[in-house]
Amino acid sequence: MPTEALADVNPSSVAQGQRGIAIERFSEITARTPRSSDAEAAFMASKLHLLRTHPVEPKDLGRRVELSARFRTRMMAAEALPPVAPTRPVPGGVGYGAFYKDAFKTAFQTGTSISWKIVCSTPPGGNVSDWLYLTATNRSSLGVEAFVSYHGQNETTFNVFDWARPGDEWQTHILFADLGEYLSTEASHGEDFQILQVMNTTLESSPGAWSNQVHLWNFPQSRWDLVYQFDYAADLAKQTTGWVGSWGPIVETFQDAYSGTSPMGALDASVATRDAGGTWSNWDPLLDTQSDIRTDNKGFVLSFLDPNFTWVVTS
Amino acid sequence: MADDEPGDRRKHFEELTRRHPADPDAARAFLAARIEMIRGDARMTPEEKERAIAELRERLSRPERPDGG
Repeated sequence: MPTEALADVNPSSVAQGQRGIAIERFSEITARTPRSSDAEAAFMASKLHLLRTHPVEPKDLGRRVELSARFRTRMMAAEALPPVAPTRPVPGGVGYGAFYKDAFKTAFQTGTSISWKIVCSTPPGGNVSDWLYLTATNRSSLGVEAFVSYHGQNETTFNVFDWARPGDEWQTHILFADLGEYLSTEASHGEDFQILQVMNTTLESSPGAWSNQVHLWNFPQSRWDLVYQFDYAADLAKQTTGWVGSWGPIVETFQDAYSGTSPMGALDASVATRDAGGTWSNWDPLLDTQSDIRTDNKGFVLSFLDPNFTWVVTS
Repeated sequence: MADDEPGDRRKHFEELTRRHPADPDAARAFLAARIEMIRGDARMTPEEKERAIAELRERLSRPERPDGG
């Protein structure tokens, strides 16, 4: 609504018994102002989104589905939305996960590493029909993401996306069917989960020379296997500048709302830091003093959280 | 399918990747998704978001711009 149209409406006129005049004026202004059907539809759709994604206990999921259907019926009756309103994929949301606090993100000198057990049910279940990632960075800006990718229900893969290789970032793509010795089951909080244990490291191998390395835990052999390495020129400033490297374990979403998904998350996420002399710290669990939880209201419900190194969500 | 040495499976993983390469759209979707992650990051200032998005757009612009931006 144009603001100049409201300039001559004095609030005191309402208080002075001229309510009728104010109503007439607002009616005139409203009549003069074209309605935006797009804005109205977006408003109503956002309410439907809120309803769909409002966190609820699993026992109440059926009630939410029922309420969503009723609300959609009401919207269609009001012609707020066309009869068939496709849900456009909304990429880049965070279903749940940890982001490093600023001070912690840059608190390394010659190396940083994250080790975590990715809780990665297969198939993902529920309404997953697009990509969905279980990923993390190790804090470095030119490091890698070693992550599980779902693409619908039938394609689950392990991938390496290397931020140090502009234009050639996607380096590894392994079907879960080929990952037998790296997949296992682990119990946490009284439940069993399928896990893939990943270690993602960025370190300075010599002055000005850095290396990204990805290891997977080989369960039958009880050892870390190196599955990816890339060496490149960089310096500490480049490794600690920018937004890349700010997220720990997260569920990254590509749909507007999720429901019925199987457990996903992180167990025992730990970070190690290499100092200026090249000495690694111990593995320390990722704590809530070092990271903040972000959730974008995508329908995921927390099953449990040990702040912030262990958590599992469903929807 | 030889490996360099026990515990080094890089060649094995490279071969598996060649056998089932990633969807070319996946990498672009990956980067485009990061732009939306930035937009939704409540901790960043508008200036920080603008800078971070510009960097990602530069990467996206190499092959094409699938994010429509």
